[in-house]
Amino acid sequence: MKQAPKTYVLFALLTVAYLVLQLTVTPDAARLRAYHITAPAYHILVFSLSIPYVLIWFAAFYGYAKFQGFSQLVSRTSEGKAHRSLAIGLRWLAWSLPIAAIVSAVLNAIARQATGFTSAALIIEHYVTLTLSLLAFSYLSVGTNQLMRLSRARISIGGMRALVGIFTIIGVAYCYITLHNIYTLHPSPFRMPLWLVLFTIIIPYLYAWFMGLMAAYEIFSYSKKTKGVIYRRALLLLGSGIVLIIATSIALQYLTSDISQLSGLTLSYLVFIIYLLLAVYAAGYLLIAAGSQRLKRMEEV
Amino acid sequence: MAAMRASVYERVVRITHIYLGPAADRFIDRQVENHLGKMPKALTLADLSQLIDWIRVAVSLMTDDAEIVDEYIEQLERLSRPPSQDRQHNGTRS
Repeated sequence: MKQAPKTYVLFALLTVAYLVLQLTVTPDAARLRAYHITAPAYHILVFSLSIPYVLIWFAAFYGYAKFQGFSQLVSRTSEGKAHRSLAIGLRWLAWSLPIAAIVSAVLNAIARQATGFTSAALIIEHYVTLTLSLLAFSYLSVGTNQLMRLSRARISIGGMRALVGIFTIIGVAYCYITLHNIYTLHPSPFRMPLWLVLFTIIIPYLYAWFMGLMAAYEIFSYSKKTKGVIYRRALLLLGSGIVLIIATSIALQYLTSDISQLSGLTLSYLVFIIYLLLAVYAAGYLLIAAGSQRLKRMEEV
Repeated sequence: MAAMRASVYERVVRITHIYLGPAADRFIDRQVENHLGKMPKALTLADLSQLIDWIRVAVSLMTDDAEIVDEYIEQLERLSRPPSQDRQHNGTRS
């Protein structure tokens, strides 16, 4: 089976699994009370919200399938290895949305039947999201670094300072919100001792986000510095898409990992913020698809 | 002097590099092999006119910017002109 149809078959399977779970799992009574809705109304709401979510997944799968097609075409060239790493990173990012959503739905369904499983479900959910993030950002970082080395481009001191500045703000704010939640919320949202949260959640997340920010900066620098007027334009589309995806992924992980901090917001505001970010995320993948299509044409005609 | 010593193929790739970057040599290899039916290194000045026609078609599929396509073709056409006819050098993109 060709790579692209295989990608779309996987997308279809994950979508069906997700929609079936959303429509069949009994909603949490506490959640129904909190949102002042009945169980059938909850199912209708969840289903209607699932449709744009699935469309966003499709944009992600479409974008990475297009990029994968391009990376296979240039696999034997000097940039082949770097593009392959980027394709794997984008694949993990695209898969991370449905995988995390399905794992979360399954674990929540089990936890509703066996209340003793609630803590385990939360812990597993945290580690699944973290692992996917680490995998995606590490591969992206390896790929962009290889491209930088090939083009003999270097990160400027000013760029590095800006990167470290942004990362410090994100990191300190994340640590503050996470530790604040652990000390003020009972039970703790992580259901683990502080040292374990620190070493196995906070530090790996910060590492993953730094890799992501670094990859975003490197791909943008490479897109700007590479030779070839027509090639550079296609690469800028691709680079902008990757930058958007990385930035939105970090923002989404940030929001969802500290969602309790947003509990003061109404349901509609919360949904609006998350969907706005997901729409930007989808736009990023569409830019990747457009850039990949142009690069692919350069290798085909 | 180095430019004069370079083969036709190398000069075509060098110009193409300005527009297609790392994809340049692969692009020219494909055009020569598929449309002219010969080894890229065996490219001669006599093949240039036919090659340029194919390149125009191919590059037009990659970009809508006609200005860039015309500029690229102009650069290639200069290769086939004798130096005396080519005094209107107006620089290239990088």
